[in-house]
Amino acid sequence: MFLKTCYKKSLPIFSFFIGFILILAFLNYKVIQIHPFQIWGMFSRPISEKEIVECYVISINNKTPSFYEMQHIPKVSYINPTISKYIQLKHGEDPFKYSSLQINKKYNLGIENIINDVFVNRNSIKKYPSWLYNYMQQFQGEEIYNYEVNKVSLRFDSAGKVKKVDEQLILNYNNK
Amino acid sequence: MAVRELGLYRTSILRIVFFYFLVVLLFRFIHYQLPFQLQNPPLFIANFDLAFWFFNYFGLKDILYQNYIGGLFFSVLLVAFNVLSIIYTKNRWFIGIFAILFFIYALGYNIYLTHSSHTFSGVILLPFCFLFLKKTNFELLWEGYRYYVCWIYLSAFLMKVYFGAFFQFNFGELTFKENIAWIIYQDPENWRSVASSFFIRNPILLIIGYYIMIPLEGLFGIGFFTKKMDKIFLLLIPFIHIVFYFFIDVLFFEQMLLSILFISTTQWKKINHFIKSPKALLNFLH
Repeated sequence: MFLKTCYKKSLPIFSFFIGFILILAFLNYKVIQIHPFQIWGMFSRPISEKEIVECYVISINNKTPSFYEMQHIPKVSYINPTISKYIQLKHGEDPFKYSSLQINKKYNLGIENIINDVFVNRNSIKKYPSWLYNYMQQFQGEEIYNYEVNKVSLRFDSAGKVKKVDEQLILNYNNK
Repeated sequence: MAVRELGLYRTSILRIVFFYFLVVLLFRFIHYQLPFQLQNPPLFIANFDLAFWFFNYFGLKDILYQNYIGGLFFSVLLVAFNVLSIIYTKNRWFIGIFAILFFIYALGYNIYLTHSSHTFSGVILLPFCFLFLKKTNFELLWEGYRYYVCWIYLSAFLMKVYFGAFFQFNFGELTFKENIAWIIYQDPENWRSVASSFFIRNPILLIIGYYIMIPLEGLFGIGFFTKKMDKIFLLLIPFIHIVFYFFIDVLFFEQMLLSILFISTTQWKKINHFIKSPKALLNFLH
């Protein structure tokens, strides 16, 4: 009905909507996020049942800042994903880069240089520890002499509290 | 369903939308997420997102995010063109430049976040609607965007059904534990930790909560057939995102703006009256 109104009132806007709907439908079907289209697939797949949950804990100057002392939004919505990426790149290539190179090879697209340009070089992880230091120093009141990122494994008890069962050092940085 | 005749209120709608974008920029500034505050991040992504490929390939990341002066200049331009658009509501250059700059900012934000988050993707096309000054064209685009928003939330529900999360009985409990554990660990005495521990002890509440919240997303499908629910959708969008923030620690601050698409013609008439006459607003508040 709305599209019919569009067709009557403005053919260019009608055509735009038709194109938009077709692309949106295709991307939803393939579940590929391409901006500016919103393909909202997060939290849509079942997750494995596990007793242990993992999280990243950052200690600064040998102290773990409390929830209030640590800037919550930058920690959750900026630092955490980059730590995951750092760990991923430490262990291998960006999976999207790997897949892109495979597709390029399979269909003989000849875009290897473009792929190498648009994806991060694994060597960049060397710069990550000092970057995280600079980034956190902006909002950490005290001067940071040292920080540590740990992947902490936690188990919930019957009171709904958590107990640390394991800790794995991700990175340790000393500011000289 | 008739297209809402909102062309008369375009100026008021624009001012509110752009003011929200200004608040968004302030929000990101306070949380150290404007380009010049990112401190030349070394890691970035491209995924299969062609917009990311374009951004990275043409060196936008180096100019705007790997360079303090470039980042600062870009951030100032974002704010300047936002304010200019609020003042000169009919100047398509100011609106268009802001829309493009904000689009670029959103791309860079996700690229350096190294995760394609959804907080910006629903709103980045919104400023482009105001490039159309002709009443009919603006109304059609605004109406079309309303349907798009209905689809965004409906699709979130459908994906959970299609991929199976909806049928995992304790999904709400598992995601809650996974996302909230660090808060309880780092600060067990915090009110949020105390409240979270209460929910962990009573997982049935999380399970019920999940099966209330997710169908609420599906409710947006009704928006394709009637506007009778629009008053509810208007409040539902911020409600959904506030609940998600407290229960899965995901804050979609930008996306809450989408509720503006569900304001009716009558409501805009009143809002327009208040915006044009601050005295009327004061009287109303009294």
